[in-house]
Amino acid sequence: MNLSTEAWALVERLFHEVVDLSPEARASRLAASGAPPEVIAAVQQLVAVEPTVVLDDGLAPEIAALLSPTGPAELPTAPFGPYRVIGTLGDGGMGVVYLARRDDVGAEVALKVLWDAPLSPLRRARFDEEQRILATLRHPGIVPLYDAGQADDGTPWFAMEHVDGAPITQHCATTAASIRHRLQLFRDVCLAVRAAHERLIVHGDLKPANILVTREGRVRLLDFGIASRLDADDTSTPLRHLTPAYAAPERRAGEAGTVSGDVFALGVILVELLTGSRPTGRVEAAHLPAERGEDRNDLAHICRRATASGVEARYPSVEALLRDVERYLGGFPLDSLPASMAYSLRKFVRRRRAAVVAATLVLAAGTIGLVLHNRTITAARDAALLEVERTTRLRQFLENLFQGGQAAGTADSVRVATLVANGIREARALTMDPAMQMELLESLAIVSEGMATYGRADSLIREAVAQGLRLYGPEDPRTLQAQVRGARLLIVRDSSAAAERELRRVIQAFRPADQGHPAYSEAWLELGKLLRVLGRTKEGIDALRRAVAVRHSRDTLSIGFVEALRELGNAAGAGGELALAESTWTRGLPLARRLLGPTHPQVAFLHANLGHAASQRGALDDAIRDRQAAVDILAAWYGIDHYFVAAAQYVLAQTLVAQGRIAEADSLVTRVIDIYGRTPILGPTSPNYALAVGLRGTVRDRRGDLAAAREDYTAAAALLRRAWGPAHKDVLNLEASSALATTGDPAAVVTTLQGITARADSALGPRSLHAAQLRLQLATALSRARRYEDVIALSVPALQVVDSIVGPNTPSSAAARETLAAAFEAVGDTARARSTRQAVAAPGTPR
Amino acid sequence: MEHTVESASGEDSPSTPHSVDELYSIAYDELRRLAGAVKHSDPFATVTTTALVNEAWLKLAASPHLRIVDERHFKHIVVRAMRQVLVDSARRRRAGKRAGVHVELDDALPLPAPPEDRVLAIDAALQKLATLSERQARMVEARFFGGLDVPAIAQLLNVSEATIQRDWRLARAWLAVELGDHTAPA
Repeated sequence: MNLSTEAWALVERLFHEVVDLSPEARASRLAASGAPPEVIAAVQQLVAVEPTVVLDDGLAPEIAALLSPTGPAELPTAPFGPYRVIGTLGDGGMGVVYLARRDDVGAEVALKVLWDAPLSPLRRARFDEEQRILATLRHPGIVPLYDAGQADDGTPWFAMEHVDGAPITQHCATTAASIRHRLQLFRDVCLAVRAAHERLIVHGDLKPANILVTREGRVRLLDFGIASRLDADDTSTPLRHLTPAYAAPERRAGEAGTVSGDVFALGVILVELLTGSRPTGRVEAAHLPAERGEDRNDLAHICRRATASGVEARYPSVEALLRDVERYLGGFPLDSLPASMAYSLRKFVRRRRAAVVAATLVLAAGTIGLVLHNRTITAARDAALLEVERTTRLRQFLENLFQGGQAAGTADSVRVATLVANGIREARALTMDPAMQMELLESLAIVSEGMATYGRADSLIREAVAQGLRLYGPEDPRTLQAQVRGARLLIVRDSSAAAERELRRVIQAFRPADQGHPAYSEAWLELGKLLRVLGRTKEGIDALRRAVAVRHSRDTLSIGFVEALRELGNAAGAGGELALAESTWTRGLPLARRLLGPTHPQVAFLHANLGHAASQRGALDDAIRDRQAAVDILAAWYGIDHYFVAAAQYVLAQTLVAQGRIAEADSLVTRVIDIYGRTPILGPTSPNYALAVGLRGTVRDRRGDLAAAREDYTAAAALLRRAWGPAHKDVLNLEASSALATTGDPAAVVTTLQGITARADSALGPRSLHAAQLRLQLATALSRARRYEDVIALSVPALQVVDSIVGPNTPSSAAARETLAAAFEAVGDTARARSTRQAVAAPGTPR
Repeated sequence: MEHTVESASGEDSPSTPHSVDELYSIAYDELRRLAGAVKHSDPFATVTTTALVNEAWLKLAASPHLRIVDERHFKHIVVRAMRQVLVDSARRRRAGKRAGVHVELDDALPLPAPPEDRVLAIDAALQKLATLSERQARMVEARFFGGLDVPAIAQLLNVSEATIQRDWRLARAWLAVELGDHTAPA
């Protein structure tokens, strides 16, 4: 029926005129209309068809047929990569999840498939995003991504672990779990969610169906299909529907997923775990089951705070919720405020909530991207300090920003990027108050630095400096302070020479009267840190001494002073000035405790340092005590699976080995290797991992399992060689250990070790500590080859070097002294054998 | 035949491709999920488009974060998204079949048209109808793909219910002729 628009208008009019007429009346009316023949024909046809049309049942069968990829009970037969679908696990928004099998290895996986992917770019992008998020999130409580790809027809898929378990609520019901057990599971859930938040990923759809407990009792978080990244500028809303029962009120009102929204969902899940049903109103102690030893008031308090309908009354982060849960499990009083106080502080909190949440996030963001190195945990320590400083300043900044009320509209958003963007706008608009503007620009630069957007930080700090020059002139401490921060950015951006020049210029520019300003100390501090990083340790120590001295005359109880002390201690430690290092750290410890509280990571790092110093001078009991304290504090703060904890456990295990507590060291080092292996930024090729494997080699060596020890030494040496090159002391040391871990031909071992010591001498210098220590290893090999004269000739000068650097009679030289004594005995010099043994027996001086 | 989702609603208020894509994605997943649920629960179930699409529709409408535009504009987009989803799906399916082995069937057997052909035929007919009368095409679209009832369509198109009733009577007859989907008249 091909008609023009005009003809159709005529058809339409005539159709309605004649449709209800008798055929005869219809024919005569149409004939009388004078319409063109094709119009009349069309009307006749339409009228004739009209009563018979059966179109009204619509398209339902077609839709059902079209949109199911296959028939009702059928499964796709074509393979997805190496996987073959054997069942359906779930069919919700954003793809279908199948149970699939990998035939070659017999493994079963959960396979998520996005049918008709080309239909919508956004849907495809979401699917890819979920895959990326899963790849980012490596955590024992989060379902791991195995594999991803595209089927022959382009259909994208990814494979995850198939979690054979039950939803957490169901698991607790069927096992009739105790409250304690339920809380422990809940804590594991919180740990997993926190791990996601630490990577700035919000789950957005937490509910029991997405939290499974395996047969082994392990928690697995699934379905990041609507998870979002807090650092993304993309504000797109989820492409499917939330489960309203677990959605926070602000979420139900249409807001995007936030950290606080996840906290709320966790709260609802907690209530459901404890009471068997979701909360319908205020959670009271009486709603909770009574169980011996449990405090229902405290539990109800946690539930209420987690499920508070107002964001400001809710736990600001999963971390805060987790701390209360852990405190409860440990029997400590709750961290959070009683409800009555919370109410009176509501206004206060509201002003700050964004600051608190944002600070928590940046803190978390700061944790990412750090790499630990060496046998000490310098980097971890630095990171924690940076966090303290960053957070303190960030809080101040955000308080300023929000107290002014200019940005009240953004308080609902916890996206740091948004906050900063708004902050920059606010700051630039603040021309009426240039002093405030300068302060804001500086703070924003610090925040941007914290977010690793260095280009932006740089331009902000330039603006701040320009403002300072205009307002206060070039010699004013406020201008100079901005310039110090500019210099720090130069360091971050790898322009060390320019940074040093700038810092020295700034220090010169301070008028004597202004040298009490914190910025003066800060300039010395930055300079000292920089020099130390550049390997100019002595100069660094001098600069840091200045930083401590100028602070000391003013404010000893300040973060800046503690930082200066800590840095000085570190530099002294690295420069071999152990006494100075230890006394400086000892000074810092009580201050840090008072300023930050006894459970703060920085306190732990000071303990770790003191442990290092104690072990260096042979006071092993002190060392173990301090290192254990560091482990405990870090585990309480970061969670037991955090790599900071592993780093602290690594050094503790070293001391335990030195003390001969091999079994304890063994279980620790196994844990350390496990955690490093699972930590994305470290992983099984990192130097940390290698060193831990090397330590396991020592443990096995001490147990007499030479083959296993040799295997570990060799693997660790190979890994480290790749990371640090063939001349690094740890590489040489591990190679030497590997060579020694044999009962084979002593002559061959000697030859190998001679090669290694030669390399050490040329790379590190023959009078260096490590070259001397390697020569002591060579002495061990010579002793096995019964070349006792050579042992004596080699050991005596080498021990002198070691003693002159780390002090006499340290555990590291004890074994060598014993070898030497045996050599004296073998050549018949019993007097010198005895005196050498006596030196071994003398204990290290306690602190 | 290219019709974009935006074109359904251009005159109402500006919309971003982003929001359209979002609706589109949700529409697809909801329709797919519901269709799957229908088939899984009872292969012989007789559901109407209205029942099927309405459920998806209700969910979409109940999502506050999708309330990016005014009500009518929103409905236009959803309806068009649903149509597009089905048409795209049908095209892909037909393309897939063409690539596969074609089995000759006995022409004498009155086989029902495969679903993708039917959806594509309706889509093509609707495009043709749109050149004759935009309003009628939109009305059929809202009814078939949007699952809306007469009062809802009247509201959507801003005309009286009587007009919709009249339009429907004509349009369905026209469609039946176009699709050859009627008991042959004498």
